[in-house]
Amino acid sequence: MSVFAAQVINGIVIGSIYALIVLGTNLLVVVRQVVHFGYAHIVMVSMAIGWLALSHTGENLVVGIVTILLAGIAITILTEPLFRRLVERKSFLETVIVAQGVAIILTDVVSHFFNKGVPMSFPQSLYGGGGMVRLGLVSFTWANVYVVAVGILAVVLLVYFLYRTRQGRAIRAMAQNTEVARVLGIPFGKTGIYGFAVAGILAGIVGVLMAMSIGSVSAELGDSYAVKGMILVLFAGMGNLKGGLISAVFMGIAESMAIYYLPGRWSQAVFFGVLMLVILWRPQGLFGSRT
Amino acid sequence: MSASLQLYLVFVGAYILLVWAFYIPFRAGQLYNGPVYCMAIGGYFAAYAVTNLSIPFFVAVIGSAILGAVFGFFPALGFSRTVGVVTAVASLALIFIIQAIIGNLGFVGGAKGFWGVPKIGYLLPFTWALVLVIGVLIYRLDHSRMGRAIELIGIDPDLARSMGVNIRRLTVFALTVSSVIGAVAGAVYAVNLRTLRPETFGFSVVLTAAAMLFLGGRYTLWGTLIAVPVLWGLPQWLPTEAVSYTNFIYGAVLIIVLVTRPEGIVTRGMERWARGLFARLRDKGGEPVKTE
Amino acid sequence: MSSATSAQAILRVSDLWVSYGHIQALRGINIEVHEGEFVVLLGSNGAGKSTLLNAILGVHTAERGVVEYMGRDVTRQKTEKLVAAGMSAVPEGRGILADMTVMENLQLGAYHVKHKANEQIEKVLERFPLLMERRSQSAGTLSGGQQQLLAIARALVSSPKLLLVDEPSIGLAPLVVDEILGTLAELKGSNQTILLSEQNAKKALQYADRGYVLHLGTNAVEGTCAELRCDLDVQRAYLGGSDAAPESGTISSQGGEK
Repeated sequence: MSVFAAQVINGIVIGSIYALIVLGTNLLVVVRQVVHFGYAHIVMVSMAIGWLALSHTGENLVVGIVTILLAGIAITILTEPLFRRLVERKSFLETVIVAQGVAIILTDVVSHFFNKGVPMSFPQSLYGGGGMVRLGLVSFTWANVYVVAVGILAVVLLVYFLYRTRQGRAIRAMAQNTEVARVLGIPFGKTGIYGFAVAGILAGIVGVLMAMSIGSVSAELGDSYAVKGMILVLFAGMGNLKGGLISAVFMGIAESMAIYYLPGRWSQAVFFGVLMLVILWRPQGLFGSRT
Repeated sequence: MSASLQLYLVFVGAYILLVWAFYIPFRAGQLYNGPVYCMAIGGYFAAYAVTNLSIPFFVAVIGSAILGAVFGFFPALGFSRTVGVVTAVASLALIFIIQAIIGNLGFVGGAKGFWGVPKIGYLLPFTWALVLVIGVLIYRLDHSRMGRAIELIGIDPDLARSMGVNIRRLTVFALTVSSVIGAVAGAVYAVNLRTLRPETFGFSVVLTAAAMLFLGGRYTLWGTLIAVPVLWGLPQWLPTEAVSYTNFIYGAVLIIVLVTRPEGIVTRGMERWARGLFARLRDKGGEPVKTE
Repeated sequence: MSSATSAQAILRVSDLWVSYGHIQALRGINIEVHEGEFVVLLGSNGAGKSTLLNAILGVHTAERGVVEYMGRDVTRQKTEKLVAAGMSAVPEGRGILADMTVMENLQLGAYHVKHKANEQIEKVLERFPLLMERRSQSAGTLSGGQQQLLAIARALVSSPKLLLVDEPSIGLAPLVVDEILGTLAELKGSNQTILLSEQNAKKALQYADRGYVLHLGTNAVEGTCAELRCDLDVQRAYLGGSDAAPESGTISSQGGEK
């Protein structure tokens, strides 16, 4: 029983991370009509840069965390100009391809320049030193707690930003109707960059959380999370923030179960297979609406 | 001819076929990753057939093509209902699924891989014969009524529908054909590489093919003939230190092409101009034929 | 009323040429709007009314000609700068963000308001009690006429120096149109400068001060609304005819004094 519970908790943690990735990706879809396939890779690079910072400052946690957050914002914003021309052309599909280009470049950069391509592990102190908390039959690590707590906090803050601030409203307006937003005097360029910046902060947060829960980063991390994240976004419905959150957490739990209970590499096949079939059955996503 | 040149030429041939496999659905507006999924199937089958079943390669290729058709048809049915981003991303799942399945199949080596494929003596001329034949077939398809209907679907699906084009059926057709060609490409590739692992037919193949398609010219067949040798041959003309950056360059190429010259090197305009020139040359006696 | 020469021209458009691809939508348009005036652009579909408003607002770039706003040349200015400088628009089709609430739509109107945005919004709400009641309602659930009022209210939140209104009567019942145009006319009481483009010439002429009739992208006729109302030629040729009682009257070729 406690093993089952452990898997569920593990699933919630992974699910929370997926949820933030899905959220950040959906944000960029909604704000800028960009399907940023390289988003997970940005997370990965931020983690790598953070690792570098940690190793150069004697494992100073604050520096490490701040570096990851800043790297997330910086790199995301840096990729913004690449998409501008494509957005003008209203080519959704091409943004995926450009983003894939960004993804390979980032993967290549990390495997060449960071730790000679060897996976980098984060210090134990980052994830609370492995201490456990017990609640009845269930036990979890402090890292688990942090991840879920920060995840929830991030979502709350994002919702607050989007619904209660001037800039957040401007972003939503632009997402709903670019022409009207323009007539209202909402600056296209600046607002888009704001959107990227927010997605970037989220990427940084995901990076920190991953460093805490997974404990290491390698160049391949980007690809695996990018594909899963993208497919999850489609599964829930592209641009659907709420649906994406729910699906991600649920999938995290499902994946955790599948890895434990299904033999070998079948878990991956089943995971992708089910997601793909659902998408084929309902191309607009589980929570999407047919427009 | 040196062994490495032979290897290179066969790989170029295989990738030309693969990029053409991507090109066909793209004319209908779909970026479909089915070809790579069938490349794995066709490749592993050919390798296994030639090595363990002692089937001659040219027969094995036919087997790969048939498998490609069968295994490509069913996803094609599903993906004919989706468009654009959804197709492009969701079809990636096919690749990961087949990788996982192959990884669990002991008789083809599973995760450890499959090796020991014997050298095929006639591989080089055979490959290029395939390229020629398939190239001509695709060219004929493009200029047939079906091909023009497919092109119309890509340009204006509503117009196509109102003109009575059965979008669903044509899309399934295009996706299945591309799967078959992908399988054939896989057979050639596998037998040239002679050592396979499930990861061989993965995400990086998709990106390489995409870079080649978009660089060469996404709307024409001819651009591929330029882009593939250039991009695949990069390790030859790069200084040794830069060779490991091949992926980086593919990524950069993708981005630069899409941002600056989306149609690629060989554009439709160029193709039309060339055809017009051709027609004028052929028409030596009379009035020059005006192409639009 | 102030004379044309002494009142400040909030807006002056000189010899404006605008094209849509191959179509020359505007050929050398000239108009002027003075402070406190309610000016209307008339003309049939395709005459160029909306194009002119879009060009003024910077949504469309002009190839030739000058748009002067508050004495400055703003021909090439971006929309966001113009809105920040006091231009406000009620787009054709109302431009309501249906998935947002009435309040949120109004808040968007305050995007460029630096201080006390909430107060401005409340002031506008007081003027439109209908919207005040529905402030938390989703904007998409409002009726056409209510949405039109919301669009106007939203444009007023920033206390604009120039209010541009594009074809508000489309899809609305005549009574509602009267209400909308009447609301706009009431704004004159607060010295609001309004430039309205409207297909329903008869109604527009009842409420506005001066009018320009556009035809195929050029200035066809201009004058005070009283003059335009009377001119039979205008009625027939450009405004789709009318059943107004014939009165004698001539059109002056220069823009109006009252």
